[in-house]
Amino acid sequence: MFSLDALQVTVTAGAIVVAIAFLSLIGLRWRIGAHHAEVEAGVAALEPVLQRWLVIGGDVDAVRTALRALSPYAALRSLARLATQQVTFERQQLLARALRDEPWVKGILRDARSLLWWHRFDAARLLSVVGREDDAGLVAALLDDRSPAVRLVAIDAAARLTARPLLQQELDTLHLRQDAVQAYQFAALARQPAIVAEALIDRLTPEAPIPALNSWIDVAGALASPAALDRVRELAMHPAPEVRLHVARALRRHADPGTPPVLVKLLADPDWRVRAQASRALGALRCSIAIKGLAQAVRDRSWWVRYRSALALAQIGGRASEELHDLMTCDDPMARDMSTLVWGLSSAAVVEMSEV
Amino acid sequence: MLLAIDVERWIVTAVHAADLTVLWYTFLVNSFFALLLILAGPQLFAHWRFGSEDVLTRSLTSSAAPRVSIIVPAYNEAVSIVDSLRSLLTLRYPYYEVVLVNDGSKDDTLQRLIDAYDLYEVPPAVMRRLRTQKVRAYYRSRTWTKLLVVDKINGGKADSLNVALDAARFPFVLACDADTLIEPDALLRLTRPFLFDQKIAAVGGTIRVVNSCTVRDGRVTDARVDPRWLPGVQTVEYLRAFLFGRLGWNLLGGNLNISGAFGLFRRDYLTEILGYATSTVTEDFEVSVRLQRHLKEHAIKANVTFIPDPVAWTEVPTSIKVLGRQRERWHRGLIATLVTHRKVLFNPKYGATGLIAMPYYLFCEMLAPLIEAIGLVLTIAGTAVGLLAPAYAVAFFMVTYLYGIVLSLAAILMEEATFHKYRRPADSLRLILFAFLEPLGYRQATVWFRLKAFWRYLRGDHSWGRMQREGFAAAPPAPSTPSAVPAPAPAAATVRPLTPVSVPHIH
Repeated sequence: MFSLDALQVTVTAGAIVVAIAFLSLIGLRWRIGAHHAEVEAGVAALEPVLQRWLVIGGDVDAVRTALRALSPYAALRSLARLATQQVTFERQQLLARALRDEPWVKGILRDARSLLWWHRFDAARLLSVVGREDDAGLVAALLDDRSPAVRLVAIDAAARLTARPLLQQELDTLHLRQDAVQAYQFAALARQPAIVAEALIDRLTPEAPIPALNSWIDVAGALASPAALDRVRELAMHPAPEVRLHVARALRRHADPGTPPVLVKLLADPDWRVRAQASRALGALRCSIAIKGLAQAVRDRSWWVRYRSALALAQIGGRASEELHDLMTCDDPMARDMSTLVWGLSSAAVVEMSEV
Repeated sequence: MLLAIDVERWIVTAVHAADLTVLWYTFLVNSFFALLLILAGPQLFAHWRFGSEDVLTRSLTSSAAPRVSIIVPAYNEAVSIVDSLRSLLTLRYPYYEVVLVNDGSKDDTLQRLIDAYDLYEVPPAVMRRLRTQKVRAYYRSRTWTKLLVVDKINGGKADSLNVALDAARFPFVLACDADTLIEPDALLRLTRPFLFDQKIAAVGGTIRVVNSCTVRDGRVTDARVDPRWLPGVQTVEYLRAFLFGRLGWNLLGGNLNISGAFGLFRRDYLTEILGYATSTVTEDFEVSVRLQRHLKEHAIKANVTFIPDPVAWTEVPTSIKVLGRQRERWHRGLIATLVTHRKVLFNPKYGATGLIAMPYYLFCEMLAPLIEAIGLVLTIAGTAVGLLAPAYAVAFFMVTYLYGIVLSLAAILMEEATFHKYRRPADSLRLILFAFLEPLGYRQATVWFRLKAFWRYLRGDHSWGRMQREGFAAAPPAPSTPSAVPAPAPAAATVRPLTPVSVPHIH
């Protein structure tokens, strides 16, 4: 079936393949090692310069020169790391202006429309540090990129810009994203609170489509903008329970005298999710006027409402704590269990559990 | 005389045909693995780029990170539970809780937890949706708000997971073992697909071999390849299975095997399928198959995916006896699961799961030891009695083993090019050495263990077998940090069922 010649050829071919794999491994290890060493050395050299500039201030030229000495990849990595640190907006703008005309920056940005996703990814990462208003078109394209990773990083790039059409594009497509991406986008949008709030106010109307309205209510909550939250409060009696749920959740950030009465009304909502979120919001706002309603809610038929209400009483403290204590000996076994559970928590635990 | 010649000719023809079938089978199976490798390559590169530090930090600091309940069954873990739990409670992740279930331990696991974490008993204020053994008590910690401990009557690992599933508050649950060491940023990496606009039902991460690594405070501080043959060979096997074995499946209709030692699930889907099955010995594989089935039957468009960079470390057997028990059990579980879910096989209603994944598990995993054993016997015996040409035997061993070595080397190459966990050149050389040593004895031994699984399955055996653990290699005490918490003590006395990480055997 197999001639000796064919066998020899097969054995030789096999041995060659194994040898190639072996040699590739050795070569790759050496190459990666050399590359890592180069990048790490560059980053280590840049780090003190960057830190000095961040802490003491001074001339941005030193940073520019240090970055120029690195390979584009190492420079990008260091800059991207910087972007995650707490750098003031003014500092970022200063750095962006200083770096924008650097050849390595231009090189990476030129690839923002490349067919290769990782080039676009790097361009988006860089734009999140050096982006400026005239990049709005490019960032808009990256926000709609086919690669989800590029889209995600472009959200950060967009957060640097104040271009209204870009923000409107983000707001109008927000509800099409998955929850986690939406939450990520809320945090990014919150970096431009005034402009986003202005755009939101026009959108927060009962006639708006429900999925979009829900996402806008969430943005208003993330921004904690009083003007936007006033509009949110007006939606508390919206016929759709999903909308009321989002309203109750967002209002926990609205410390305004008009909010607690609305939330107390929501404690009697037919939907248990709305009641639970209203309890949570009342606890977060430390509303002493809601103690009676919350104590009643600890006897609710829904576990989550009981849980959130008991936590809210513990958060409010004082007379609310006494109420919680009394519930531990009440006639309702479910209210008894829940109040005993929450009563045992330390105050730090109450805060943490109320948050999540 | 003529009859004798006919019989002899018939035997020769039959042996040739059987051997040729085995040869082609092996070639096709290995080629399928090569396909998985090709499919895994670009994904591996993508995950390596996505996993860059700044992207991770951004997601950590945003409120986008999904809430996760880590569910941990524990049985007789008194020796190491306090340290293991501390490593779980100090992960780099913003929103999570740990639900630890003491499965009726006979040692003082619970008392140690009460003392170390200042636990107090709370009423059973959880929604019970699954049928489980009776829960004795729930405990919360005054110092660690993330922690909930549940004490229950012994009912096995799946039963404990179901109790934890009921007690979990968050929409995602990460099932892991009490002695699995999760890297600090692993949870953050594991939740990355959620940030990529994907609908996710479950995500699996990589399991690596901890034997010989240095462990400090429940963290692997120095990754090493064990120089001993048995754990060393398994290190290569795990690399191959996780780096491309599972990654390749992402593009072939989703994974059917999310490891029980480190897998993230959407809790509502797990609850809908009534949690883990207590009747199986590989509850992780069974629940993954049932989940895929549920998604397809209810037309839910959610992915079961695998990502390579979140890492958890586990100890592998160092004795052939324990390895035998482990592999026999894994294979028995595989057979039982395929038999239970036989309706899915070749059923177009289940899409790629029914037409690709399940047939793969049937032909390339379940039947593999049978066919390899037949091939070995026929080739050796046929060559010895002169029925087969030596060239044929050489071709058989080349297709079976040399192809396998090339695939192992490719996995090592991928590891080196991307995550590069093993920093010392000596470790890379060891990996290469073990890739060559694997076909010499180890392969044949695992074939034997898996063959035994058929026999025990037919006898209706449902036992888990036991595993003797060595414990982790502790880091040498650092003189500058005298207050450092010691690494988990060697757990030679800890005897419990082995973590059921069903590693697909790759030929």
